[in-house]
Amino acid sequence: MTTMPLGVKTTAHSTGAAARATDLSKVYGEGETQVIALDSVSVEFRQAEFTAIMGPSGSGKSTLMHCMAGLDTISSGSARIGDVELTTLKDKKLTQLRRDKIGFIFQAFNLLPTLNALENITLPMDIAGRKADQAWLDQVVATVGLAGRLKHRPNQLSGGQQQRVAVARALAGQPEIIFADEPTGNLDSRSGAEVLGFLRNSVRELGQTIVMVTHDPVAASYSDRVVFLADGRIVDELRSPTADSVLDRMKRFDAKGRTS
Amino acid sequence: MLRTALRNVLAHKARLLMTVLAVMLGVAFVAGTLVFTNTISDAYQKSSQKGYEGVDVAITPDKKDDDSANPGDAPRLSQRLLDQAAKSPGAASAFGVVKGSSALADKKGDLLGSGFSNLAGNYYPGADGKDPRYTMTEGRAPKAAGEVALDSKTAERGHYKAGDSIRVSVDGPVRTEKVVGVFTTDDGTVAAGGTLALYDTATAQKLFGKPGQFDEIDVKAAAGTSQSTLKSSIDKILPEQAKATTAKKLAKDQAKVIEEGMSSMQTAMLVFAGIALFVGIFIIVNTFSMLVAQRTRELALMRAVGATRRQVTRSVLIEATVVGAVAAVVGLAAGVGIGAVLRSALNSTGANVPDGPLIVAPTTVLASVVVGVVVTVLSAWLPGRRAAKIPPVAAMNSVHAAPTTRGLVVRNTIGAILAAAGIALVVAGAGMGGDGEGPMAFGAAVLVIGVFVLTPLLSRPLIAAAGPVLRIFGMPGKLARQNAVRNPRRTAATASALMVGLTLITGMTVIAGSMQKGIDKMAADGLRSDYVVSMGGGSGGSGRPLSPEVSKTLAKLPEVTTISPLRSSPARVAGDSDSLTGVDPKAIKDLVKVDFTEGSFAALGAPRPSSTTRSPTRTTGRSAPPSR
Repeated sequence: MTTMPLGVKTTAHSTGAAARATDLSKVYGEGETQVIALDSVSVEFRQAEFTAIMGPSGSGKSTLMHCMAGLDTISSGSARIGDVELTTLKDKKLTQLRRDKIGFIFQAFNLLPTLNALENITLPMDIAGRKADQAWLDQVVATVGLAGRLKHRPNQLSGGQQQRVAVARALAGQPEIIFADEPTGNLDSRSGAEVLGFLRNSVRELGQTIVMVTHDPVAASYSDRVVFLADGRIVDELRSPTADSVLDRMKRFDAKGRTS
Repeated sequence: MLRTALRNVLAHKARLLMTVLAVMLGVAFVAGTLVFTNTISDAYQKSSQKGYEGVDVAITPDKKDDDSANPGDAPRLSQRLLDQAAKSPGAASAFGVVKGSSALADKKGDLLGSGFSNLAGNYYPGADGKDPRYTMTEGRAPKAAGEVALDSKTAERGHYKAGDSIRVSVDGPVRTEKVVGVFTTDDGTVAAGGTLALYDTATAQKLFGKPGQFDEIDVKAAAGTSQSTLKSSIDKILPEQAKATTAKKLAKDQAKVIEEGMSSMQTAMLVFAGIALFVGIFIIVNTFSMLVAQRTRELALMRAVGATRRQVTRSVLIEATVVGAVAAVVGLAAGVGIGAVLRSALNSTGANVPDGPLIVAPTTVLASVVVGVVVTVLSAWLPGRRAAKIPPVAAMNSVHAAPTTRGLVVRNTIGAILAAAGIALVVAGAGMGGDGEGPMAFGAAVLVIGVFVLTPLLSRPLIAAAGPVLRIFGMPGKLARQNAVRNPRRTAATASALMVGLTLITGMTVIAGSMQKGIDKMAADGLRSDYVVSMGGGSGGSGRPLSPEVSKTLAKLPEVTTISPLRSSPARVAGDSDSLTGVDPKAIKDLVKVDFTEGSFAALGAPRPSSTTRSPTRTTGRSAPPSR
C-alpha cells in the first residue's frame, strides 16, 4: 500500500518537519459570499514535537488542521506530510495516506458505536487488512489504562475513557503525525488532564508528533509550542508555554478584536 | 470491514426488519409459486404414469387433420379389432374401453362434482375377472344393466355405499341405478375432482350409443415383449382411421401437457412475485438511504481513519447481502409453507390434487436465494454510492451541516420531457385508431415513468393542497407539512413505493373491469334468451346432446314463452370443415341476435339449405343439469 516505513521513530526534539504548509489558502464559496478561511498560511510541524494551534472562533484553526490532515481540499498553496504533497493526491491515495501515516483524535464521536474498544483501536489496521503489532498494542493499551475495558462498547465507557480509546487508536498505528481536534473539549478537567498527559508522554517518551487544535489555554500549556491564528493568518508563536502566558496572549487578541 | 458491516446489521435490526419483510414477501411468492407448481405437476405426472401401468399399447380412433372428405369424428373401434389385438403376436391381453359421461346426483338431488368432469366408463373384466385399471374396495364390479360402481372419492362425497340406489342421468330421463361397488382409480380427471361411474361393458355401450364399439383398446404385452415390438405388430392389423401408441409415449405426451398447463400458471403467479419484488425495491432503497443518512458521522469517521470510498460502499453492500440472504432464507421457508397451504386450499375447494410429496427442487432454493440477495444488493447500491460520497470532514463538525440540496432542475427537466413524450404518444396513438395500440401502450409506460421522475415537483402542490386537512391537527400537522416539503426527494421516494402498488392495482382493476364489461356486452348483445339449458359435466359431457324430452318438457312449462332446441353437427361446407347448427326457425329470432351481412332469419325453415351461422350460445356457459 505504501512505500514509506511506518511510524517514523526519531529521538526527542528532532528538527525534521513532519508536516509543512506553504502559502496554504482555503476559500469557501464564490463571489460576494466568498469566505477566506486560510490566507497564505505557512507553518511547519516538527517531528517529535507537540504543537498546539490556538485562536479565537472562526480564526481558521480547524480548517488548517483539516487541510493539513488531508480531510479537506486546498484552494491554493501546498500541504505536505513528510515528503508527500497532498494537493497532487487523488482521493484513494489520500485516503491511504490518512490510514497509514496519520492518526486522528476528534472532539466527539471518535468511535464506532457498534465496535468494542479493542476493535475501535485496531479499526484503521482492520480497514487496511493488516495485523496489529501485538507488543506495541499491549504497550499502548497499558499506557492509556484500558486493559480491563477492551471488550466494552463505547456506550459502556465514560467520556474520558472514550477519548483514551481514541488516543490509543491514534497511537496504535504508529503514524508519522497525529492530529487532535479539541480532544478534551467535551471532558471534565480531571479526564482532560489525563488525556493531555498521555499525549504529552507519547511525544516525550515515544517520539510521536502531535498537532492539537484547542481554545483552552490549559490544554495548550501541555504542548511544546503554540501557534496563534487569527483571521486565517498565523499571527504569533509561543515556545514552552504555560497556561498563564497563553491566556495573556489570548487576551490581547480579544482586546484587539474589540478595538478594531 | 466485514465485522463493521455485520455489527451494523445487528445494531439496526429493527430498521432493517422492513427491508427483510419486503424482500421476504417477494421471495416467498417466488418460492411458493415454484414449490406449488412443481409439487402439483409432479403429483399429476406420477398419477398419470400410474394410470398407464396396466397398458403397453393403446389403440385409438384417429382422424387425419386434412381428411375433409369425412367431417366429424373418426369411427369407433370394433369388437373384431379388439379380438384381433388380443391375438396379435406379443400381446398378452387386450381390453376395450368405452367412455361416456354420467351426471350423478347426491342424495338431495344436486349434481356431484359440479363444475368438473362427470365421466362414465366400462368395467372390463380380464381373464382373472378383474379390470387392472380399477381396484374394487367395496362390493363388486357391475355385471348387468341397472348396476353401477362409483369411484371412492365420489362415493364419499355423496355418502353412497354398496347397496344404495343413485339417481343417474346420461341423456333422456333420469335413471335410478343400484350402487354395487366402490373402487379406486388413478385417473387424473377423477384425482382432480371429477366423478367416474362404471357400468358393465354391454350397458356402457348401450347407454353411450355405441353398441359393440369401443373408444380405445388397451393391449398388454406378453412377458419379454417390448412396447415398440408390440406396437409394430398391432400396426399391421389397424384399420385406416385408428392408430396405436405406446404407453410410454402417452405418458410422455401427458406429462408435456401437464407441464405446459403448469408453466402458464407459473408465469402468471411469477408476475405477481415480480410486482411484489418491484415494490420491495423502493422500500429497500428507502431503508438503506435512511440508514446511510443516520450514520453520516460514522461513515465519515471511517473515511477519516482510512476507509476508501469503495470500502464504504462495500460495507453497505455487505449489509445488504446479509439482510438479503436472511430474508431469502426466511422467504424460502415461508414459500414452502405457501406451497403447502395452496395445495391444501385447492383440495378443500373440491379440486383434489393427487397426493404426493412437497417438491422443493434445488432450482427453487437457488432461485429464491439469488432473487432475494440480488434484489437487495442492487437496491442498496445507490444508497451505498451516496454513503461513499460523504466527505471525511463530516465527522469533525459537531453540528453537521445539512447536505446541500442538489437542484431538482435536471430531474424536473427529464421528468417533464418524459411526461410530455408520453402524453404525445398516447394522444397520437389514440388518433391512429386500431394501429395505435403499440404507441399508446409505450406512451403510457413513458408517461408513468415521467410522473415518477416528477414526483418531487408534484409533491409540493399536493402537500399544499392537503394543508387544510393537516391544519386540523395544529402544530403536529404543521410540522408534518413542513417536514414533507423540506426534502422533496425523500418525500417522493417514500411516495413512489405506494404509487407503484396503487398504479398496478388500479391498472389491473381497470383492465379486468373493462374486459368484464366487454364480455357482458357481447353476451347480452348476442343472446336474448333468459336461460340456456345444456348437458352438465365439463369436457366429458358438453358435447353430448340433451334428450328430446327435455325440450318438450320445458316447452310445456307455463313460464316459458319461447324455446328452441339447438343441435350442432360437423359439416363440410364448400370444401372446408365447419359446423352446422340446427334450430327452430320460428323461435330462434327471438332468442339470439345475429347480424346478417346478407339475407335474414325469414329464409330459415324454407325448404332449401340456408346460410350457416355459428351459434353464439355455445360460448356463454350457463348450464344446468337436465335432471331438474
